[in-house]
Amino acid sequence: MDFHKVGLSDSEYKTILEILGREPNALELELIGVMWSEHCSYKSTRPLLKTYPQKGKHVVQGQGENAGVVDLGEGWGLAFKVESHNHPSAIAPFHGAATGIGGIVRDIIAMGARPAVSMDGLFFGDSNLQKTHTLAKEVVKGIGFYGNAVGVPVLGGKTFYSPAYNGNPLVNAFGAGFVRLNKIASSQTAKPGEFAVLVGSKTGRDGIAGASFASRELDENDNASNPNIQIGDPFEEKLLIECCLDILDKDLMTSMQDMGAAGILSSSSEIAQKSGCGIDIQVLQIPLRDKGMEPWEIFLSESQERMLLIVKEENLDDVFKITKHYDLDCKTIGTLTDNRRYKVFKGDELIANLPIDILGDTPVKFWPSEVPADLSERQAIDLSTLKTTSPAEDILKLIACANGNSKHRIWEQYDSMVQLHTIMGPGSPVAAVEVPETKRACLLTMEAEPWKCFTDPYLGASETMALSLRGLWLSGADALGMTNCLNFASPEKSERFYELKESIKGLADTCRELDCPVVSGNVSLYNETVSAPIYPTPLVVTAGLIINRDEILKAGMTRSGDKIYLVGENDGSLGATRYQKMKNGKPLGKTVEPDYENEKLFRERAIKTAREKTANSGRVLAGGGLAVALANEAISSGVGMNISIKPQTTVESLLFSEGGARAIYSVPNNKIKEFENTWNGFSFDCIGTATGDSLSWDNLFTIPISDISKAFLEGE
Amino acid sequence: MIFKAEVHIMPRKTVLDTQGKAVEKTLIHLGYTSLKEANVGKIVKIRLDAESADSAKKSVESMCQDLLVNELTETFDIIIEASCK
Amino acid sequence: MKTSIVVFPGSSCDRDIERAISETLNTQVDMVWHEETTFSNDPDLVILPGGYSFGGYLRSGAMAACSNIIEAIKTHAAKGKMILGIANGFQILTEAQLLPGALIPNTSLTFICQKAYLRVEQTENMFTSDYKIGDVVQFPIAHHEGLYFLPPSELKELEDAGQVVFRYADPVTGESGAEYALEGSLNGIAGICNKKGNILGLMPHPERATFKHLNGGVDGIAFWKSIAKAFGERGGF
Repeated sequence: MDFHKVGLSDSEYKTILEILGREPNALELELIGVMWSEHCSYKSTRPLLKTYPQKGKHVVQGQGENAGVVDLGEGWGLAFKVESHNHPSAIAPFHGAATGIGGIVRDIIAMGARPAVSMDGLFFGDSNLQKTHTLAKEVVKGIGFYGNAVGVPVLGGKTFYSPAYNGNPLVNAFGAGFVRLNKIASSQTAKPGEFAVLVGSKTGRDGIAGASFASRELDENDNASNPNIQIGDPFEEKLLIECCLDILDKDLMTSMQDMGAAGILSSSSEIAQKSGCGIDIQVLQIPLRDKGMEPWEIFLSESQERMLLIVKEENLDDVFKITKHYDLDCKTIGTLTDNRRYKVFKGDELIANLPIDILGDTPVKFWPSEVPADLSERQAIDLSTLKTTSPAEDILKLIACANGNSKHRIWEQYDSMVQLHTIMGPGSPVAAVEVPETKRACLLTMEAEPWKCFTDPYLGASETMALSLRGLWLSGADALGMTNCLNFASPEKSERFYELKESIKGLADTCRELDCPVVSGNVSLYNETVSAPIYPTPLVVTAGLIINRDEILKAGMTRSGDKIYLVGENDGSLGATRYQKMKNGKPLGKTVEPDYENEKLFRERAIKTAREKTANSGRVLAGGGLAVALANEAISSGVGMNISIKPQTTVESLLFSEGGARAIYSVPNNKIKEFENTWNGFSFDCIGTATGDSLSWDNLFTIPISDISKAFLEGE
Repeated sequence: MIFKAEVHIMPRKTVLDTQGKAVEKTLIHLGYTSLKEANVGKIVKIRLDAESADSAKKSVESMCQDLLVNELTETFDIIIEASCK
Repeated sequence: MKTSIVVFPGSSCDRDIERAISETLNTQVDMVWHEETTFSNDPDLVILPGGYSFGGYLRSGAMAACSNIIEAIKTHAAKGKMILGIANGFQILTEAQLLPGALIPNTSLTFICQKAYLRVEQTENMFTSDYKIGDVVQFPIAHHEGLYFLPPSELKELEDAGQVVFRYADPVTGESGAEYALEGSLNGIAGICNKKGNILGLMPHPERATFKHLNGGVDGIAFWKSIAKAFGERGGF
């Protein structure tokens, strides 16, 4: 069999021959080929991901497990991770998005946590194309179909439209769950002599070699026919959640791993390798749905809703009883050994026999990196093209545009309240959920800034990360940790690899400087079609904690009479902003340089403001800058504002620039002194008063909030 | 003897067939202006052991009443044929 | 007061309801698996929770209505004791023919999760006696098959018998009717009871409006208290 067919290069194959001291047989070659694929091995990014700060006082479980876990106090942990399902969603939007939810939910179960929150990062093509809407509709339906039925609430997300995603949409699914710290499950705690038990769906031909499918660029005709797409069954998943948590609660398993990419193969080899064991698998024991499946198909199948549990012999009967209660298939398919070999038997016949490390310790790949030839072109910005003739009109356009308007038509299709713990759900800048049985709240922000990453991958990624932190701080939360989904084009192209490398560096530096460890994540490469690559799209989700949920500072709580404050500088950068993109038709210009000392000053004061309740409402500046933040605050609070502030540079920069630690606050008159004391040592300015039913700005403009509201709700 | 049965379940005429209406609208939008009506229902395929086609039909009818069909909102037809296998 | 919450495979609001009533009612709560044939603790109130019993496949509630526990629920109903079905629980009650009608797909063909305003239309039952007719309450909805349907003649009978307990309404004017039903329910019906008034089914989720620190409002508290009061006034069964 040709090793190229399983995606291996000449040099990789040579390495395999050296390790084995012989030629692998066809099955072994398939197994190695998949485990060495980009999707399973992260061979292009592993060295880069090592540069992330991983330790922190709240980190209980860092990278390397199914999900990261941070300490929420009072014995509770939050298991969380974000994962891409880009390629499947491009081919089959409904099922691809649905199984994306299924996959992330199983990652959370695999940590022993009850899945409690989901969020989605969706990046669709040109909002003016019918094709985009058809695809978006299916993706949203798929997420709702699966998420609603498994009973995990959607608390928010990010939806972004750009022609850069025309051929290659992105679907990033975030999941989080609560776990008792003394009940955390692991995929690294199996011992020789224990049994590998497969629970859940029967294995069929669906999703075969999905891993290698996700490790290459999409063909233009991929959507014509692809038999490999997986179909999800949320009912089975719901039973799997209850069943696995039940087994775990009764201490009947020693280790657990979900089945994602490369199904049985990756789950069984990972659990054995990480636990320092070997494993014997009996292929005839695996329950099959399709007839005549070859062993390699069985091992690579990505049939959904399956988990691998490691169980001691004396607990097998009890485990079978529980799986029967939930009406789930359950079968012992293998035994852990102490020989560190991955052996597959078909009856008495040994059909694969590999050293376990060849499947787990995969090689890394170093690609050349080169500054994109057009980078300086992307960074050139001509301020004279950015003049505003009617600020009112521009503000309404920025609010109504596809990336600015309300996404309620999407999130009203998701159950955002099931599980009875949603404090702030979709539509809020920050999501908040109560920590079970406590007064604590866990806060979450999801951010991505593709335009800024396109014009400067380092600065863009840094600003993305800082933005996610500012939202938490402003709400009053301490940041605990971050998970990220790195959506990029082919690393084999040196200019694309540069973007990947610089983005990771931007995230790593910012996380290190601002004390936010990276606890989990996912990399999705080859996001491009022959016509174009996507924008560099690192998406981050950051988790924070508030000890007393009554101290959360929310947005949209401005009351008439409140003084409006701007904290931070008057100007950010107009580079790659929503305003600039609207004026020029494409993102141009760099965003701001990071200023970590300033961020720390902001952090300290923002958290204090929330805890001391010296503001009624607050909102960080994001897309659309100060003007859009004020407009959004006015409509969500249902009160107008009189604003008076003179530009230090230009009107456009004052109204629409983005980036940097900046926020608006609404402060009641009796708290002004305390508020100003808190912000002493940081740039701040009282810029107006909440009153009336219009947003008015000196002699610049007056817009009735009903007009802003209409633009926001109805869009373009 | 093994029989194959197909149960065709359709929304009752008195019930708003929202899926049918949506399909109808989209097809007309696509230019199929000759279209008069579209209705969306579901098919349940069953294989069962029975003495005769008649008893197979009776048995499937009973399944419809017990579970497969809600007669308040749906109507059904049963097609029975002998299975070759 | 003793309460049993029936858990079906795919139920997802069972734990939510347990928490909501534990907070608001002085009741002992039992979770009962659908395969049981009897309620061992002789409950006063049986609740069928929301969620996707049996995946919501075939028709919402159809398969759950064939579960073992349904016979025990019918026995419980015959004794005149309280049964409450919320969302999927309401669908199960109609499929089991403990309440008239059917819940079919929303006219939008999409799942709808929103706050919903309901006018209390009737207080002569065991669940809403603490309300006044015309009160408007907010309970969130979250459903894909929530359109209440009944053929015209039977619908008239239902209305004439005063079995409509909750109807979707305008929060400002308090006016109720079909135009306020986001999913297209006939006559804007959100919840109904049986003739005896001991069985109530509704699509909106009162349990989601029970905790003030959460985002669903607090109008559910009065609903639970009303049940407790009705129960107390009767001095049990």
